[in-house]
Amino acid sequence: MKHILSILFIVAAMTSFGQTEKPSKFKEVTYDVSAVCKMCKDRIEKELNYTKGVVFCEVDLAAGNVTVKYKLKQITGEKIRDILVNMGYTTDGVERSEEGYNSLPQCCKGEGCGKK
Amino acid sequence: MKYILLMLWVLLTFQLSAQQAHEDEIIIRGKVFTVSDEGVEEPVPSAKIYWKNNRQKVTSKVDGTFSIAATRLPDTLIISSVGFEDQSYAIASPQEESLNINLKEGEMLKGVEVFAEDLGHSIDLMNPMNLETIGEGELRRAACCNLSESFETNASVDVNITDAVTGAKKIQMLGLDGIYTQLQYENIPLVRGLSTSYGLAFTPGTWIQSIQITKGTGSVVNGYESMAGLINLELKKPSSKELLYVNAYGNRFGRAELNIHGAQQINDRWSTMTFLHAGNVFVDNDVNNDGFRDIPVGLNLMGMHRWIFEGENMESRFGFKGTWADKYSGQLGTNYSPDESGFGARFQTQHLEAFAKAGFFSKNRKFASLGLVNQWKYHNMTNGIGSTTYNGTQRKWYSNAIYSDIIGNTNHTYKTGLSFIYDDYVEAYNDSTFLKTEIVPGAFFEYTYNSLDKFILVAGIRGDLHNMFGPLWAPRLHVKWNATPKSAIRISTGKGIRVPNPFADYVGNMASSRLWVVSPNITPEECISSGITFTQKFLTNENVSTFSIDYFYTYFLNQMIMDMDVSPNELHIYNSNAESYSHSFQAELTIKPFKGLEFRNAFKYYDVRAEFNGMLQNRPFVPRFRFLTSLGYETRNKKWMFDITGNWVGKKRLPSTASNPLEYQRELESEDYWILHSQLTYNFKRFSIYLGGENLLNVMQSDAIIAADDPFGSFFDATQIWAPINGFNIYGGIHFTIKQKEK
Repeated sequence: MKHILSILFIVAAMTSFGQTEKPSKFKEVTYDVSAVCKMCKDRIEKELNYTKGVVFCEVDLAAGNVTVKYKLKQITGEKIRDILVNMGYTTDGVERSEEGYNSLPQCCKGEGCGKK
Repeated sequence: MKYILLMLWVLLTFQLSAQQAHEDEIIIRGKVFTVSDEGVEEPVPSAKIYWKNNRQKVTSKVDGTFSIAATRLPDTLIISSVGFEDQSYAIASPQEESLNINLKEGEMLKGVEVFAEDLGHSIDLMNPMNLETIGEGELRRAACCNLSESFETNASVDVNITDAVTGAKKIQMLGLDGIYTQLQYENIPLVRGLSTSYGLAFTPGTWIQSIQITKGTGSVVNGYESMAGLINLELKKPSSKELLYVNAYGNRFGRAELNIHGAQQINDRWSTMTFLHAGNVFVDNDVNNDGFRDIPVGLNLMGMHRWIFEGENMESRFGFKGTWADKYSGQLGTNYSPDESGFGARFQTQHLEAFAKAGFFSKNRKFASLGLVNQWKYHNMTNGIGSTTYNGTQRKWYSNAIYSDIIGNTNHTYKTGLSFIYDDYVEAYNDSTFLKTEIVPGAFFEYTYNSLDKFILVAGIRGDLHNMFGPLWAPRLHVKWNATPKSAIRISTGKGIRVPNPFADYVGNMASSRLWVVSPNITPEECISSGITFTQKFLTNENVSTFSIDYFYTYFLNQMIMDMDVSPNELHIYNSNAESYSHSFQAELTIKPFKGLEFRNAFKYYDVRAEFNGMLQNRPFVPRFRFLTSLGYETRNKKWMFDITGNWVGKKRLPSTASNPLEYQRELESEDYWILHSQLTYNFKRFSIYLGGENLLNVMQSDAIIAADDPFGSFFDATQIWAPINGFNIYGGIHFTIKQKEK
């Protein structure tokens, strides 16, 4: 058992060590985004998770923000913000694109979801 | 195994504490309060406290206090609560003193929006019944194939193969056969009567949106039949926005399936949805080399078309559903033709049903509503198993009308109504024909007392007048109490009644030379089922984890016993008032150590006994112990999903074969074994592919069929099945979805 524990200790130490060494290649940024509903969340996550350079993207509706981890070599934080703006969301104070906003479903415009 | 689990546990806790130690360097403490009109300081519980540039988020406690860790400073702390204006504090350095945060009531209440996450698997804390939900996320974890396979990662429902010829799967709840579980889809009976044995295979998994499982007796509104449990399916709705959905599946046994669904939103009120399913097993499989097909070959077609109308004061759903199946099994090379010498088997099913539901809401009385459910069903099956034939036709009309309203205020509500069942059976077993017509009008009343959702009591009673068995009474009681906001205690007790159909309930057992001795006087089965459940939720790194523990005791007042212990050549079916009970204990822990990972462990203990051959003994084929462990992982970008589930099944009692010749004798107890399933899914933007394996340890019951070399002899028995008979399976498939243009 002692051996197992020491192996585990090394594994755990290595993983947490590994985490601290990485940030040179990756960056994690949180944007304040005017996303309002589950549909927005799905749209944004689908769009950004399939954008080249993005490691992951998570929308937190309650906090009204989007967390994106990306590869510094492949994309910039400004580009990600522009994608969100072009989708029709005001991001970190940058006004949403009207064109993108107009193509959003009613629900994401905040005009009510569902039929009634 | 113990060591592996321990290691995993240690690893997890170690990682957790390591992470915490790293992040807990700076802690900001504070108290959220508001000053009321009278000038009194009142704490604000459940306010959200989070960092502007950090994912960390906490909520204030009942006394308004909170503590939040900071990873990097400076940052801005934001405090928000519904009905109050948001407050933000710039924090540049670690604070010694506790923050006092005075929230001002917002001039305009922010709209309360509920953000529901598809938790995949969840146990509700609000419902008075212990409702366990398997959501779409969970259903995707095991891609195969129909309803009976949807319970693979679930601990409450066990799935067993009935015999080595039909390959039919049956569920088990509380250690009791699936016939004691009431199955319905959107509150319409799903399998009942003749379809009891194969019915599970007639609902493709892709049609299902979610499954709700209730242990013990359910609500009286749904009928008198839930004894061990109630399972309700919600099928996909047009509002799921799937304009077109295609799923194709194939496995190593030559089983191929195709599912196509389409939804159409016609206008604001009308929408429609169509489901099509085709499945075929193309290849003969005989992995265990006993000369018998392990899985029936042949075609399965299913379809459903339904309409949904949503008006201002009325809602309606109606449509029809059909199944056509023609399958062959038995010895390799046979095709159930009259002149062949081998042991052939053929199962044909035709099923057609129409259903209509309507709900009406009163304009004047806000809480009053009337619901109507109607179902018309035709079910025909033709079974040939060796020299045994069993055919049956069922015509059914089911109707249920439910009126609900409040008494004075919303603390007191009631549901009452009338139901009617007309069930006409024509069955032929070998040369004997059986006719039966059940006409059952019924009435029910259910009162609900709800005190702020914290304490809910549901008391119901129903009375049905059966044309053959006279009045049947079923009282039921459910109580739920939230001792703390994150825990719930539930107690339920009630009576369940069921009118058995000896041949249809045990079709699978026809795959043997046993002589069927069926009592001519079959009477309704009755039981009292009581249970207590405790559920506790807790947060692990912002993720909801659940611990639940339950104990159910079911006592039969009258039971139809299927007795294989009298003799290995005979099968007796008769009613018995002798002692018959089930003790079921289950403990389940679902932990989400971090986002995307779910780790579930469940332990079950069954003590299920009845009198067989005049002696109180363990029910055969029910393990005393079971253990389930399941690990699901989803990457944060939601592209990869990985799942592995292990099921340990303990020893089961087997009916005695001591009087058989030595080579046809079997042990009195089965071996314990592990079943391991795993699946990997990759999501592309518009479609996803999956690859999985079942029974990866390749567990196989050896010599599963007794006297497989002499199928027409008197010792042949393919019903003594306690483990898989066809070894491991590898499957793959694809989901493809075109979403409707969102409005």
